[in-house]
Amino acid sequence: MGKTSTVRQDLLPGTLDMLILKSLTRGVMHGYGIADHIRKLSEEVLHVEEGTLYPALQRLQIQGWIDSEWGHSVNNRRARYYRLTRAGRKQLGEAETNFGRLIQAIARVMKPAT
Amino acid sequence: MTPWMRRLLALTRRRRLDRELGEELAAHVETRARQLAADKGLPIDEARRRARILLGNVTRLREESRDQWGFPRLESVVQDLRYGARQLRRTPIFTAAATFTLALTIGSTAALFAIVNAVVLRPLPYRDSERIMSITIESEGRNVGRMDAPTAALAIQAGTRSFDSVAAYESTGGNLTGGEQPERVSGALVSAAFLDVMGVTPALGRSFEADEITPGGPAVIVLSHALWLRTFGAPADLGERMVRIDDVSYRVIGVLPAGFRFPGRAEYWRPWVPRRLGPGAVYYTDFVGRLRPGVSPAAARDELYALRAAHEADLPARARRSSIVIVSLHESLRGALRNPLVLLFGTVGCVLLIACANIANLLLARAAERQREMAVRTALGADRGRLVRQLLMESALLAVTGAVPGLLLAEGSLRVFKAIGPANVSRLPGIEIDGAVLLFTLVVTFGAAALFGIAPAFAAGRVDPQGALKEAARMSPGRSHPKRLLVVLELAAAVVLTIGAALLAKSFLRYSAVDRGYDSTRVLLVSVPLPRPRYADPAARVDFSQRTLERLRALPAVASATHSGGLPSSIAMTVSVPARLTTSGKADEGETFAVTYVGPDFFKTFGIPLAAGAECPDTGDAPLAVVSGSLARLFFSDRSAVGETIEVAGEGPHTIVGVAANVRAMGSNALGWPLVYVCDGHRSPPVSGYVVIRVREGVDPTSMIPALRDAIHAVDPSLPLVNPRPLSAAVGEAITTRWFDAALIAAFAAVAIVLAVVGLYALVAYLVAQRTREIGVRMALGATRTDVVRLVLRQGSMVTALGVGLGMAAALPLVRYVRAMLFEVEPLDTGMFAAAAVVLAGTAIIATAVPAWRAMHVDPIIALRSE
Repeated sequence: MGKTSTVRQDLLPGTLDMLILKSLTRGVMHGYGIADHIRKLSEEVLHVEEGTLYPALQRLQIQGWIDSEWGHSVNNRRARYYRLTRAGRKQLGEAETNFGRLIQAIARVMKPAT
Repeated sequence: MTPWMRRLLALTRRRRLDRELGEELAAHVETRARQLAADKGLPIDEARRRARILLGNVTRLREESRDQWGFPRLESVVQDLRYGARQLRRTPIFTAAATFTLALTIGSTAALFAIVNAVVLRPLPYRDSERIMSITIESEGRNVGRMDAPTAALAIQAGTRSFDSVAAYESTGGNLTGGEQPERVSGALVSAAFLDVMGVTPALGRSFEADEITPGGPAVIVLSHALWLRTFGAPADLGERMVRIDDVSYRVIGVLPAGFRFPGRAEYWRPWVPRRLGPGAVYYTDFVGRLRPGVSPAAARDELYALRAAHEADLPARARRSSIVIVSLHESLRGALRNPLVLLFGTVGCVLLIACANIANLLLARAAERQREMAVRTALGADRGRLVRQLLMESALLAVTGAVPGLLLAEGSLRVFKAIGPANVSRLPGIEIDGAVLLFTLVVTFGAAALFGIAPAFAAGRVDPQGALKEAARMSPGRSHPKRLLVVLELAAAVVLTIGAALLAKSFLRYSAVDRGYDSTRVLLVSVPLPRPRYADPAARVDFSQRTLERLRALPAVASATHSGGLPSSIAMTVSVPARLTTSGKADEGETFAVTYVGPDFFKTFGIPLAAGAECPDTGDAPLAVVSGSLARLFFSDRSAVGETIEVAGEGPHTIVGVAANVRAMGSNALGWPLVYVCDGHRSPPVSGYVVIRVREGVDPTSMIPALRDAIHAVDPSLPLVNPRPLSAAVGEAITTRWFDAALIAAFAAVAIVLAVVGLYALVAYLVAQRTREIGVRMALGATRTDVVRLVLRQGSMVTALGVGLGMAAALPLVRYVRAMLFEVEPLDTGMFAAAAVVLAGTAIIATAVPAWRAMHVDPIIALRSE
């Protein structure tokens, strides 16, 4: 297990948005669920702080990439659930492509000399 | 829905969104707590506590979320503006004074820009007007202002490569009859290509054709749109319509588009046919050309010289010898107005800068007071950029608060100017607050805000919170060097403006006081055109003149009466037919004189003293003339000119009967040309001339207008009388212009002095307040009151001396821009420089004395105790 990274502002803000959008492809989730999902899937490497998560969720809503509605959680508590919109799906596709390109570029630079 | 719209929507739902976020966070905490309790086996309360801690800085979270609801940047700007407005309200005196000053200065700048824009900047309303050139000549160092007709005719006939087209024109006028009332209209005689040069095509019909431009050709005329409308009601087609001008019928062959009235206020255009005068005679006409693209005026001029050289034999000697001047038509029409306007504009700009410097100083002083406020805000987390931005907003708010009444003031002043300003400027079109002026005012307003706002804003942003908070109530003094520098610059600017105003004032006094050579005080004149066919016969004109003058002389209030082709000396330029002397004097074809035609009693009526000989006789057929003193001196220096003979080209020899004093030109007070006054007792009065009377002592010339009208109508009731007015009115117009310029600049200079001196006073008062403690110490240690006064005075004098000195030094190169406006006054006039220095220094000393006096009365104990 690598060193845990707390996802704060120093990670590219677009990356966090992308992670959130990707998480929501799995289905409808509430805020805690999204953070949990990212933490588990990244094998504890990425911890999303609430201070970053919730403002990001507001931002994504303003952009129109996610939608929210209030529902009831497992324990019958009131919780707000988020889902991906069609625009969000499209945005995710673009973000993935760009991110992939970026990663490849970095990898090419970091390739050991032959 | 775009993100923008979602933000707007969120703005309205903020409270609900906030509440929902709170719920969401609570749910989050609860879920986390349960997780922790399950994972780590903690009791639920402990788990909840930890979960809440893990949530982090909730306030920050909520703030960042709130930033998404609405437009945070815009909102912070609005916040800054409201804060700024509050601050301004807290110091009402400062705000009122600053607003007043800004309104005055920004308003004047805007008004002047409107005038400069309309008169100087805007191009003439003709197609590609910058290529329309005015072609004139200079002869013997004098600018004739027109082209000699032979060369013009030659250029028109031969054609030129440099110009697309060239045309000659002469302003004229006539009596339009046939309508309800006879009407006097202005018009012009123009050559064939005139409309091409001006870039105008007739709206109806056509322009002149070659066969119409010959002497004795068909009588055709082109009308302006306004005249066409007035006379015929603007029918759709030309038809076979005629107009009668001066009792001659002309067929209307074209109508020009609405709005075209060049030259002057012309309403009709007739063909220009070059007149044939005797050998050696030259008369002048206005001449314009449309420059071909890519050709420079210099090249065009060279071509004209070459043309002249190629046709030397056909041109009279005088025409050959002059130098050709080509300037744009815009320049020739408006060029003379440019200098005074630019000067005024510069003056007003200077005053605005002085005002900004003052406000900057005041804001700097206030910045020192507001250090605590800035320190507190910095400690609470405001970043420096935010503070600076907020202070700049305050300055902008102040500037805009001044600019709005300023624009109203500008609008008002422009109205007043158009009503009472000098006619040659105020009647030009387009002097109003339009888009360009508004844009300019906007730029100036924000420029001013930047000028006076930047220094204080950055000074306040540079605060060290710890230091400022510790100092409790004590003001930490800012550095005073920038303030001193500003006041020095203000004083210098005020000195420059005062010198300019003093020079103009002296020039105006000289101008009004100069002996013009004629006496304009008791003279009444009226323009009486004598139309054909009735007055085509010279005998009829002589008859009219004699009978009219007889009636007028019979009136008890009239001292003398005459008729004349023109006014003293102003006539010299219209028709300049050179005289030549016969064997009795030096004969030189190169000398140019002016000729004018006068009736009997001309000199007595106009109050021009006769140095020798007598006036033109009342009757008689002999060709006689009176010459001006300058002409007599030129040719008969050693003997009396009376009795000698002078040959007027085209008219034969005349015997000189008298020598008259020299007369100055009416508009400019320039010395007139050497003049031959031909007695037209044997000729006849010109078709269009003046009837002039001189009234006795104690009679008001204007009151005689009805009597004048009656006398003329008793002889011929059908004659229109054009523009009866006292001569002093015509002379007065030129004086008014100069007075206007001088008065305006003086007013602005006065404002500048007041602002600069107030600035100085504020500076010295500030310095004294700063050093109160130090003064107390000095006095406690034995300094006398005189010592204290001297200390303060020294500070003030340093600034004053620097300012005045800098101003004088700056004035030296700048005064030459005023030279063109000065009449018989040298720009480097030591007296005026000294006077300006004295005025500034004097007021500055008074301004310094008041704080000095206050400093004198400082009680050392109180001073030492005060913090």
